[in-house]
Amino acid sequence: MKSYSITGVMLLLFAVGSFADEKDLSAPSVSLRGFGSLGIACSSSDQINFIRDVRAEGPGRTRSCDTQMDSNLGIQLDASLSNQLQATFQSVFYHRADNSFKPEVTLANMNWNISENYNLRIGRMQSPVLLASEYRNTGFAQPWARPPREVYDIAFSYHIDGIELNRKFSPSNDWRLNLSIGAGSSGYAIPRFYESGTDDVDADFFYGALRSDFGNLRILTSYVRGDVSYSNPSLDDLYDTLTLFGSSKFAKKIAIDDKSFGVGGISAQYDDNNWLIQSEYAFRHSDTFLRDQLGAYLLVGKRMGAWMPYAVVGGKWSESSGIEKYAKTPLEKIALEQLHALDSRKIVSLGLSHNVTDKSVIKIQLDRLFYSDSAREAFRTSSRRETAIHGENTNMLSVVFDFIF
Amino acid sequence: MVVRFRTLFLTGIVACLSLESAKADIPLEVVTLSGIPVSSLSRQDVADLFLGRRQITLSGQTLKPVDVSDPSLRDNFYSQVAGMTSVMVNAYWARIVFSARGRPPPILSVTQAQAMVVSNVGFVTYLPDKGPLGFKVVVRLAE
Repeated sequence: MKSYSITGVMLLLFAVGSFADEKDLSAPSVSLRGFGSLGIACSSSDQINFIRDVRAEGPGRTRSCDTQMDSNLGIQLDASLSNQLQATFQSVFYHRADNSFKPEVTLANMNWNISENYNLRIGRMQSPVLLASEYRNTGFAQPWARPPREVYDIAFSYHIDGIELNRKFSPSNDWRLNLSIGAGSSGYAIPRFYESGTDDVDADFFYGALRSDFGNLRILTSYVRGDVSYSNPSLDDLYDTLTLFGSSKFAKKIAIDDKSFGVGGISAQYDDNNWLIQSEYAFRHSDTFLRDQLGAYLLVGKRMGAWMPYAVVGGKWSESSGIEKYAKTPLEKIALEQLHALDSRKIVSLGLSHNVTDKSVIKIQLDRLFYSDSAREAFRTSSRRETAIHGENTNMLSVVFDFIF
Repeated sequence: MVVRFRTLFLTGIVACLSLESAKADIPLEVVTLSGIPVSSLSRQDVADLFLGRRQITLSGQTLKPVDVSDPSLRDNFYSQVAGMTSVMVNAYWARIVFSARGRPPPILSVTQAQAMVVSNVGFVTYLPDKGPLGFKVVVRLAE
């Protein structure tokens, strides 16, 4: 289920539904909705480009200010075929890793309400790993300019093609539980390190997520387990070199070739429509050369009429995954040293959002990124092959206008 | 650094657990079409119903909410019932809709919403009223 004909799916949805009379709520119906963001972000760094999930490079070394990284447009068709059956199709335009704005099909699924407490989804969907994972492209639905990458890059959760079963529990009127169990595959392109172009990441995984809503409090815990493959020409050359010098076993050990990984998240949110306090923690482990990663953030926001000032403090750090014990020869140790990016950093963000209309909001956010002296962050550019040794701090100022329609 | 951020995260959890929210004090008027008060539907029930948080059954009938397009009436309703502005309501539904996790209730004019409730057992809406809240919740129950 990896390729979708946008035209074909749209025609299908229109064929089985219709723009029915709104007053006839039992008739099949189709509705068109959308969301979008227009943003500009400026970075003080002249060494490194800011990267937002799988999008093309943002501001920094290549250009001081960027108007594409935080900009997107999403179109969604929803078809209610009956009380039990719904279909959704969503396509998002954004600046992709391959420098194009080709639309990405982010949702294309059927939902079957089996009963009051069970529903089944089949097709393309987002896995509910973190609070904003499923609507990370919908800026209007989020309190910040963009999800903190210190956490959201770890628990990467882009679309999954698969199946998901949901079960609702209500121990009391104030307490609701939702358990989601799903499985499927995911494939996407990321900007290539050091060179122009993109690399493919493919994963097959299953996941479980338990969401608990008690009054104004929401707790979400999730775990993803699967196998991942990542192909890159430079890495392939490295594996070939290791094999040539008698380290084929080590090369196979560290390669990201159908290797197991685990991602987990714990989230808590308090929102009484006055205060918004949100904290998330994510971790990732894989049986590859990648170091284990941990990330956390805390957001505090206070609504004051149409305004909401907010602050975010976060951090990401990496720990040994234990792969070092497999490096026996000097060549293997050097190779691992080169591959191990010490991607540890902290962030402090101050932001202010203002409701422009009841369907649009403007946010201004100042980020201060702190890199540890030993951190080494590779930056991607279309023409350079360099690694920045980073000990300096970076400021980034963003203004984003989010809307829905 | 790891310990510091785990502390940060735990601080956030504790903060979430210890804050409390305020509730509105003016009683919510919920009536049937013939004006009989329905005491078994609380303010929280109505909020949960219109925000799609749970299904509510009354007199053996699963209630179906019908939202109203009149901006001031809608703002007043969600402010009094759920403590939410229209932006918050729209953001709330955006999180659900754009995750394909649900749909908001249909939004009709006051006249259409009233006609819908009159014609269909189990439908619930809110209509303008001269009482202190400015609206009353009207539900059609089986005779």
